[in-house]
Amino acid sequence: MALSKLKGIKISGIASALPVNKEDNLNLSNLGLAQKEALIKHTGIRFRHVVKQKERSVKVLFKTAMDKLLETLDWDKSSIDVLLIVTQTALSPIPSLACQLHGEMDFPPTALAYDINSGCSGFVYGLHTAGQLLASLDQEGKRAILCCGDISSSLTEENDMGVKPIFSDGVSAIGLENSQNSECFFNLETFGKGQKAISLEKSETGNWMRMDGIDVFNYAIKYVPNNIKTLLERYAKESRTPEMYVFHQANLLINKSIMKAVGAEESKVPNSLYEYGNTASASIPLTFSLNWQNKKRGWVLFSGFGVGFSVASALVKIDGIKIAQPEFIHI
Amino acid sequence: MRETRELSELDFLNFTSKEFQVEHSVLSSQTEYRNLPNWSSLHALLFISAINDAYGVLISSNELSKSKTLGDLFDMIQNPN
Repeated sequence: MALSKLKGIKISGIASALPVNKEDNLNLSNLGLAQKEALIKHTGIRFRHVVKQKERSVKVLFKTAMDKLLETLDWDKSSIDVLLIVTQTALSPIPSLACQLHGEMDFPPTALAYDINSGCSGFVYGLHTAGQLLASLDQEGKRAILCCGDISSSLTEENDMGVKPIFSDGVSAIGLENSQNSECFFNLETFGKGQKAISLEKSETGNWMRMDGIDVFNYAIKYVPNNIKTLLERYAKESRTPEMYVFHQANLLINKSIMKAVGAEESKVPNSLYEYGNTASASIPLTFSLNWQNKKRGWVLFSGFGVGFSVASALVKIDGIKIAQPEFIHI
Repeated sequence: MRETRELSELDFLNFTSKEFQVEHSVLSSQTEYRNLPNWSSLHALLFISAINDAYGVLISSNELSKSKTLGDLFDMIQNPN
């Protein structure tokens, strides 16, 4: 797959939803103050949004984000043609979360709906899939909603200090539609031999996400800058120079290393780690939506990487986007 | 060659002394780095990151687990996979 380009689709809007409840890494009971301060300094993460009721479904967050997106774009539910849900924390795999949400949101029968099992690279993978589906539809004016995100805290073991201080709960809903003259460029890669870097461990106490921080760092530094450089060298002619580089919010150490390796100016690389932590596949649209003004036009480089080990970058022209402020709900 | 290696090893011990904020005099190639006062899983990551910045060598989790001493790490930097 690797390099690919899509014509005729654009990102029209973004809305995000997070639990109102926040946890503070300074309050972690397993670490001393000096360790906590070092953790915050080097990961960049102070606060994490965490659901209070672990049994609550990520579906509630997706519904909130989609309602806000439809309101922001003034889209009627009947106008939706594609619904994609990128998540790894659906409460039950059957039926798909996309079908559940299709029913509960009252979308029309003509809308196709399915899930994509993907984590930190999921926004870019979802964008590529949704874009392809829209481009394949045999009419103008078609619309897609791409939802990305997880309740990662449902997979976080209380005492795992390699995972708990990093991950945060949250989702984003992204509206896409046909638009003549728009182009998007992608570089999608998989390094499956790195599958053990982030995995799910089944134990008597539950299913817990495990992460080998050093291997994640190694894979990110080894593969992500090359992925981005290959994409930019091929497609970022002068007129397509990125105005912003939005990386998956892994942690500050990784993200700064990628920024340096790619040669991106710090002022063009926003992060939302301090307030929002690592929100898996929602981290790119969330960070972008917190840092981009509605009327601004320009090319943006998105790069997602993580569980898999999966790496996906996209170079996208943003023009006429409507961004909603994040919704915070009691959940 | 011998001299270059000694110089480089000294360099690496200086680097380690700075990264861990420990006196250079207590460090040698035989030092078991996991016993250094600031060692933790986070510091392991910071160390790997600093080695990558300074020497352009990535040490994997598996390689790290096989190493005990600063000399072992130095050998990895000298002979990367």
